[in-house]
Amino acid sequence: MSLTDLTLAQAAAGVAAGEFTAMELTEAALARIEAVNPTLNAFVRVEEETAREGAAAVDAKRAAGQPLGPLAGVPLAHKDMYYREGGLTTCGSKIRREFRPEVTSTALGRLAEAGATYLGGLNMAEFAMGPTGHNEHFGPCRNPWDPARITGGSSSGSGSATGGRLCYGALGSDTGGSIRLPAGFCNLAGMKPTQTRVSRFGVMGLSFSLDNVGPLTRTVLDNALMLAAIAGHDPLDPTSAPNPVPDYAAAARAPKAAGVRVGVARGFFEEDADELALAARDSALGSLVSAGARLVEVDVGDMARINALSAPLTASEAATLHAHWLRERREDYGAQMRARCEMGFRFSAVDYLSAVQLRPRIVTAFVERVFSACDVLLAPTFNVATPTIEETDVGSSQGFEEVISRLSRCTRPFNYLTLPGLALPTPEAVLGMPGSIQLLARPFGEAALYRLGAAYEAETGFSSRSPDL
Amino acid sequence: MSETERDEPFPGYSFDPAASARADCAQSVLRSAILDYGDGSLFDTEPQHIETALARLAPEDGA
Repeated sequence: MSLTDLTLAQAAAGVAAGEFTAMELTEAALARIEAVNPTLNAFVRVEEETAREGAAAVDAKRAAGQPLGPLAGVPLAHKDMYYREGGLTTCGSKIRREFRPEVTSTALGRLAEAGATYLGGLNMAEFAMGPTGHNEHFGPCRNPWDPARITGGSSSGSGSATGGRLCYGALGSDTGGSIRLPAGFCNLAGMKPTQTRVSRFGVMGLSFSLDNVGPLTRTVLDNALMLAAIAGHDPLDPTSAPNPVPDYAAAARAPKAAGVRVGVARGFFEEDADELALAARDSALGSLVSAGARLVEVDVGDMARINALSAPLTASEAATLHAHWLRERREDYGAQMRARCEMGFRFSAVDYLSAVQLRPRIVTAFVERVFSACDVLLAPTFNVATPTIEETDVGSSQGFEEVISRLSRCTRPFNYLTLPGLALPTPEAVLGMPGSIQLLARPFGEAALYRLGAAYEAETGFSSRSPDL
Repeated sequence: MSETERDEPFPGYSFDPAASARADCAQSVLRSAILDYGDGSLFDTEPQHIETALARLAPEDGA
């Protein structure tokens, strides 16, 4: 077994126990990147020196008998929008190809405090806007399960690199599904935490009402370990929640499905769906029942209206952030990004504020109705078969909005609703490619998702599957 | 300049006509949704305090 086949938790435990060194883990990851990245295009930048320095520091600390953090020596890589003081951060764009921020994001700072090392920046949709994995500036990112197919986006490299065993986990960001979609298409666990659960300081913004920071990993426990490291209030991000952070790793180590009421979201989520995708969803329902969960039917209401309400938040806020560059450097944007930003200028202030104003009321009504009937809600992460890169390479043509809309229709509502969502692979594939469900809980219910997710993982064994690269 | 090629949002910048058409469609759907939900907003004195709602909806045991 190669060191790159270990899970994040196994890698951290091995370093702590002295079974192998952090440097050995790092060299194994760098060799894997060299061999596989030309196929996947997951990394836009590999930082060998930084990675080796980090590994050497961890090994020295261990040799000196100093205490190690929970992620000590584990090589990670992240969507290339997390600022590192003085380090390149391209945001998947031509405009920021040479950008070197003056601050380090709180999320990266906390991962470093936990002992994780940094391998480099990962491919992503330009400025995190796009659900497929296309990028006009850095080239499309490719799916480790079939390089001709999309990874999902916008955290495309996070899905591809983690799924392809190039790193042990990665941060993504999720404004409308950008963690859950690549996790789903690449057979991973992906957590979009509760809005405000994780600090966004030093993270490139797209839509400040809907942006979330979260991890993509091979297992549920790995995911819990990463979220535990980054969650919690940050004085540098006044929007981050003061709520205490539960012990997520303990939750993942105590799987529980018995007696859990799982609400099945139908209606909107089954409309316009591929039959095979729904069959994969049903295989997940079967596994949850086998693990002891109880399925209940719930009324999720009109999700199309929720998606309509999220549109002015994403578009207007993105247009606000990009107005200056759109004016000065229009031609430096890719066609999709430019077209979607332009939509933001068309919504009125009343449109935007109405969507903002209605949000607390809609979230409250949804949570009280749905989570009085169930403990965890289940919906497909996507309800289509994984398209090819060629099929979805549609530029700004008339069809691209429909493609985007269809790919992310099941994830977007939960950004407006603020809820935590854990994407997990289905037992059955969809035309040979991974399928995915998302488990959703009430605000700050991430621990409940990890407990149920771990039971589901034990039942399905999804994390033992590995792509043939 | 045609109806769909307006000189906006900046002087010398014209919207992509296709983007304009999509925006019109999205705006129409949005306004319909707002109308559906739009009762009682005169009494929403803290319309932007999503944090208040989230804190109230968190699990009581914190987990």
